[in-house]
Amino acid sequence: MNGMTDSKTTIDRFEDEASFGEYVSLLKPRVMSLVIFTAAVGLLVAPVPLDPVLAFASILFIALGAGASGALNMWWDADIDCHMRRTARRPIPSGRIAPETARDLGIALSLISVGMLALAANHLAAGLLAFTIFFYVVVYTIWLKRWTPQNIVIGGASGALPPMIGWAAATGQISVESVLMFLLIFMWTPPHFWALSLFMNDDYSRAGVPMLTVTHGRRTTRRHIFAYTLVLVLVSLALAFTSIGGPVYLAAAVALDVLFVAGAWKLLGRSEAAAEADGYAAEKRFFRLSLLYLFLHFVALLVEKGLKLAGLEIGEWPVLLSGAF
Amino acid sequence: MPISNEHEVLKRRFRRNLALGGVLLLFVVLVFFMTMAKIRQGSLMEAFDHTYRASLGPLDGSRSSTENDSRMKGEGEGPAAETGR
Repeated sequence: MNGMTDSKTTIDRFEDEASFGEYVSLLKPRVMSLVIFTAAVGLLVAPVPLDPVLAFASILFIALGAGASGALNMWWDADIDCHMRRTARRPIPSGRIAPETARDLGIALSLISVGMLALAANHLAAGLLAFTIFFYVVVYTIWLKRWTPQNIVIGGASGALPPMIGWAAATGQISVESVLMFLLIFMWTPPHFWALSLFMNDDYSRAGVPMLTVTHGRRTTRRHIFAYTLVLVLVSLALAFTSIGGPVYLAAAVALDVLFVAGAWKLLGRSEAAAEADGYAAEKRFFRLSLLYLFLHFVALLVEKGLKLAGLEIGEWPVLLSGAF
Repeated sequence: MPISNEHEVLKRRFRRNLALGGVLLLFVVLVFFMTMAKIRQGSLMEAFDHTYRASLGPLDGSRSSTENDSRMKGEGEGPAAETGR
């Protein structure tokens, strides 16, 4: 009888044991999907073709590296994740995975992904992946996130590197084209996250994360969104006049830029009373538009590559920005 | 409830181990195909074997093939010749 009681106690301890899917969720699959897409575009639009198996492996290990940094981010941020509605159900704050397990998994996957990318592609790509993981975990998560409202501006660099890694995997170089792809995501990140923080401000306040909306208020954030959007437009248009750009990309970029600037202008003119009255509808629309904006820019780059491969280039396109560093 | 093979915890643990096993198997298959791709590309698949390797020397078009052959055999210059082996 006593043995049965002990058995019950023992088995109860494992009732909350995490499933395989919860370990996968530790790697932030939604962020990984963005990384996979942008890295794949960076690799596919590069002028040097890569063996399909090595290309697949390279993208897989770039995604694994991103997942590893996601696990390390969750390990470090477990104490604030439990205060935010958006993150409270993550495996660590909900108690299904121990923080140390997430840390060890993150470190192991970081080492595996960097090492395997060096074997699948080259040392430059592996070095850039290692830098991305370091930047996201140490510079953004540990240092900047809880210290400065510029956290996502500087920390955004880690999210912007995947297309550059993809390009480096194929060419072994860093070029103007890959730097502009990096800048496109880098300049897109602040308007995207600040739009989110406009309607999720309470979450960040509760967790004590110094987002711009928390430290400087929503009015300043709206001005910042508009200013960064204008710089983003310049980068978006510059990419059209590189070897990976073209008329299709330019048409898509102009259309998306007009929509994005109009959205940012609308946010700039909105009063807080109006925003609260309609439940931040315009801010939520702008946030969704930002996702579409980035996705369609990269799709347009893929279309340009497809047209070139099919020999359907439209006349002589002026390549004003080009060259490797 | 006594522990039995039907317990939900054990079932979940089995599914997790099965998934992990699948991931490891896929990793092995991926490394195999990566190796095949590297060989197809003509990558050198050499390891250190304690002898002089011609592939580590400079590519010298001015030398005759006989000279290069003798270097490979350690008869001319190179570490093997210098040490008198």
